[in-house]
Amino acid sequence: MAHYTLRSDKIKATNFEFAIVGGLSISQALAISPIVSIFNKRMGMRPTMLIGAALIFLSLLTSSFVTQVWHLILSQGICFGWGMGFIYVTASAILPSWFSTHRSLAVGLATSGAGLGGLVYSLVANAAIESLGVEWAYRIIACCSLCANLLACALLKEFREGATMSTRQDDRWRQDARFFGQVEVVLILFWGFVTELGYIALLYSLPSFAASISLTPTQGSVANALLNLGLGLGRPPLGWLSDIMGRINMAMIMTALCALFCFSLWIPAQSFSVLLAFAFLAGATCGTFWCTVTPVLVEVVGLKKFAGTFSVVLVALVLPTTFAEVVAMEVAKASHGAQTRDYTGAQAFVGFMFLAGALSLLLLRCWKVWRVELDQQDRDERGQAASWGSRQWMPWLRPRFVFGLWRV
Amino acid sequence: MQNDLDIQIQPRPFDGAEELPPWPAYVCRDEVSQSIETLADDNASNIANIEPVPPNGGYGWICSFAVFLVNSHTWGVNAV
Repeated sequence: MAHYTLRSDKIKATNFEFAIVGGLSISQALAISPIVSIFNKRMGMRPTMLIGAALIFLSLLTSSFVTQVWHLILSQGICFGWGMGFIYVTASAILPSWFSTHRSLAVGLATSGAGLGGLVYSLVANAAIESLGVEWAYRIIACCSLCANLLACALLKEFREGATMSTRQDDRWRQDARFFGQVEVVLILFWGFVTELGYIALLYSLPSFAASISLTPTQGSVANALLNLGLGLGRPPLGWLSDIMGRINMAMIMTALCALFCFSLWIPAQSFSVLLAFAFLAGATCGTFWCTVTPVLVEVVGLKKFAGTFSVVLVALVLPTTFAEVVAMEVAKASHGAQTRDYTGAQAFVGFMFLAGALSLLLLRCWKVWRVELDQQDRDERGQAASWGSRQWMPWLRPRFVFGLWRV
Repeated sequence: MQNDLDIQIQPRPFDGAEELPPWPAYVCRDEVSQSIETLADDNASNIANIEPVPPNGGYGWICSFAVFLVNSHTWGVNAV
């Protein structure tokens, strides 16, 4: 993909169109998640994943034959996005039901594949483009991904099939609509919304920021690779720590740390080494949402309602993923227009987005503590619990819930 | 049978309805409706609704590896 951006002799397209293609595949993947869950229900998880593997293979294969921009939009944007939706949404919804106390570690290990895969594939793709050309690079990646996805299909099993598929599946859709009104789901959505905006704005402005402090493009791509490495290496320890310290706690700390790094490292960064340190640390913390959303969601809604809520959250995230690119470009353009090499606007935007995400997690944590306490009381004495916290507006929002040390 | 159940279960939640906290009320309602449903259904569906205990390891790690592969070939390839 990025190759076409760099060498535009083959396909005539603006940067804006390339940005659209890149964002389109992710937003398409999220947008079809309700359709994917229908397929899951009707056909089971394995056929659904096979459809996804086939679509991804088809998309990468057809990408090697493109001559026009709209070909690329169809193959890389829509076809890849749908394949990704079919295979990624199905696979990541299965994993949490296998674990109880190691859940975050397992999800962390699994999601580190995104960063490590990105790193390995960018090296492989560059080597293949150098020696064989873009077309064959695409075909090689297509074959590799088909093999890996088929292997994953063969290995992945649902934990006790049939038992998890409860008999009252049809009720799920009616519950889904109601999820939007619940404060904990709204907080998770807000967290996803702002961190997604910040994450994509960060990805887009990092290379041009490197150029603005007079670094070479090679140094810029090294910074980008380090970001990917941080994305891959940061996740398993993050998962391990969240199993120990509490999943919501850890997600909150990581999101806040990313904001801190933006303000303390990125804004004053003037040298290559500081930028590299920032890229690695930001990589380790900025993808927190995708790494922790499944365990946090299970903490909040429970294992039974998890699959339904997960697809609702993904659908809601279509909006930021579609517009984050545009917002990021506008922010970057605004700082370009000033002609002073001043990226403080974009940097502060990213920092404040992550700060807002951390605040919404603080509220979510507060809600969870209240919920746990309520359940505790409920178990102790059933009659008393009902009156607890009534007659007050938002009974979960109390200072002792905000500042107390709880493992949630 | 059906009448018996209605008489036994329905009065309790509605007696305490005033005391229920304003916002987690849905939890209580869900519990009640669920218990009515599971009691009214036959025993087979009752068993199906019990959440199975996760193995917390074992084949789960193989599944993690499979999801790792999926992640690296969706998000990873998309980043290239």
